[in-house]
Amino acid sequence: MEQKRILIIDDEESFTRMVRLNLERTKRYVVREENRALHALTTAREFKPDLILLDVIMPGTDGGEIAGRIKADPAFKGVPVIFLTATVSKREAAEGVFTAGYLFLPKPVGLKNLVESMENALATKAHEHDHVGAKAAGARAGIK
Amino acid sequence: MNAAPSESSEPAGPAAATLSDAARVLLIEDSPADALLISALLGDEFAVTQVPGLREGIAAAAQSGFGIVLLDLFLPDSRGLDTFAQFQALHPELPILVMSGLDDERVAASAVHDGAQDYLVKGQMDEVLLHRAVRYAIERKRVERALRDSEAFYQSLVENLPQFIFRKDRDGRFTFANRRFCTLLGRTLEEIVGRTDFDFFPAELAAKYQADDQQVMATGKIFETVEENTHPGAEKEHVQVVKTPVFDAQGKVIGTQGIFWDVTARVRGEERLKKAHADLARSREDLLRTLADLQRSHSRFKEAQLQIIEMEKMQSIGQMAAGIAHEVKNPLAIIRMGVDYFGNALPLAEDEATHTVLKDMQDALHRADGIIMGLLDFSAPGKVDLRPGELNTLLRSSLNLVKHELKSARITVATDFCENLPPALVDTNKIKQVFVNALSNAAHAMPEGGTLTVRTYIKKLTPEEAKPSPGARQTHEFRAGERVLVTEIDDTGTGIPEDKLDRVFEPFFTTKATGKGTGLGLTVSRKIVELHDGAIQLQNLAPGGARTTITLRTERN
Repeated sequence: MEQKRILIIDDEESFTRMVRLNLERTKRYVVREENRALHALTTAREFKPDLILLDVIMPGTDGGEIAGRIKADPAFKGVPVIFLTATVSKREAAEGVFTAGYLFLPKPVGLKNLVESMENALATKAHEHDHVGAKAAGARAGIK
Repeated sequence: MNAAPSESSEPAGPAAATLSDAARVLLIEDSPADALLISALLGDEFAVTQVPGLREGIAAAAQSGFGIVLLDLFLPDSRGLDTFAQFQALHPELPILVMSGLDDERVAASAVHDGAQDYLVKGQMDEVLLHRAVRYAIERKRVERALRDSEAFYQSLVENLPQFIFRKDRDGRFTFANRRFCTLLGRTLEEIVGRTDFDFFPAELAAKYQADDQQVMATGKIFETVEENTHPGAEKEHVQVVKTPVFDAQGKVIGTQGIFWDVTARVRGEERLKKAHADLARSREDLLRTLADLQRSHSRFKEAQLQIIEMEKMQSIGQMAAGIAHEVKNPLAIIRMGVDYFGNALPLAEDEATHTVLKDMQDALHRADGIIMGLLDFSAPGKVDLRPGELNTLLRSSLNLVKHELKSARITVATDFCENLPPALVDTNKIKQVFVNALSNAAHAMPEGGTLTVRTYIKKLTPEEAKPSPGARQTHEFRAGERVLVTEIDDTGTGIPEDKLDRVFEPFFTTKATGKGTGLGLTVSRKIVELHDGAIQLQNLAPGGARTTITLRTERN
């Protein structure tokens, strides 16, 4: 089975390391950490990820800005971005938050939940490549 | 004040007859025979001075004090009634006995009519008759004088007093009016006497005066009043009137008499005083009202101040909470990933103790995360999406969420739901959070089991209930008569210590054992209920246990 390339962008080095170790042990992913938000885009261009995990609040810039630039870059067309955030309330977390088409996962996220969410996003991306079910995926992501 | 008339007040002079003066007789008689006879008849008791003519008589009377004059009407220098008239005009103070012959008796009688004390017919006098006539004349003159003085006294009183005085007979005809009253009416006394009030006053007023008179005569009592008179083009006048009945010698009422005087100045003064009193009373009332308003404003101000302090406290706690949440969640995320890593790294059967440790760590993580979530809920911006919702359905679904917790604590649930409630205006998810929190608190209060009662009903608020409870932090006010939906959640647990009751809504205040509560549940609940314009209240129940009362508005409000 082909390993998916996952880029995790978060200024918290211990966290990215933990995520990397957990994901790599599944043998299904190749993980690249980037702790410097300002280098995020360069690293992404170089690494060519299948999926990006992105922290929301980082020094110097924020996840939203990085996500906007990724989306605007044709090189990353169709690459899903999942936000990891520490500022989601209990109810928002329970309901699952989508903002502007992005999925937000609350920290502390469990490994099981993280992997499920990533697989869902990757599967949706595959559908989009088939030009099928784009609308369904959009609906699932809460896009109007 | 005038003194009553007395002998001593009489003017001194020839008229002031003493006993010795009274014994001195001036005999004006031209006939020596008659003079001799009369002197003889008067005897030693009287000292007689005889003059033959009127002129001498007038002169003698002016000289010294005589008690009486015996005057012959026919003298060489004067004849008939004229003799008397001349003498009396010059000496009115002296009593005069006129003397005449048999054929002149008619003239003598005329003199008596004009003021002589008596007349004597020459040739018919004897000693006894003469003595008696002289003494009687002197005495009568004295009485006449006294009467005249008395009359003058009373007349002076009546005429000089600054009051209006009148008398009327039984038929209301004036029998007397003093000068002042005459002037007031612009008539002479003669024009007034014999007429009635109707001749001088408007009919309405005259009728009133006569009615007053009738009352005085009927009751025989003093009548006193202050009358108000309005003259065209002039200011109102006030007159004090006193009327009394007039009695005859037999005590029979024969009329009325009255006295009245202007009291306009006094009445106006009284009115001003009364008005000043009323103004003062009004000012006092205004002052008291203002004071009460001030006190009310002050207490409201204090209340508002406390609310502001409370709100600021809450806001700063909220901001702090958001900061803390972010800072704590990141390390929690690392630990979570770490725990998951270990959990997956160890084959399940290998080491049971390690798995227990990992499970405890996961539970602790979950708990810490719960506290942080609560903080975030608390600090989340206050916005609710209010829609009509079925209260009973919301409560049933909330009960369902805590059913495992209730079951494991062996708690019996009793519901007393009022059916056909109008929909409540709620944010479904947020209000469910309030219910779950209240149910969960009730369960925590009964670790040894018990009964949880959930009750709903609708009620119309009384004015008393509409008032915010003391110390309540309410951002709105209920209206008296407003229909509200009430949810009561009762437990049979230990209740809340009375001294802690007013602190339960404070953030981080908890009565639960460490690890059992975040200290934020009720704080968040209250915030949510406030966003619903509702109220939440906690109280202890008499037999034990506590009640949470949540009051919500209906859709119609």
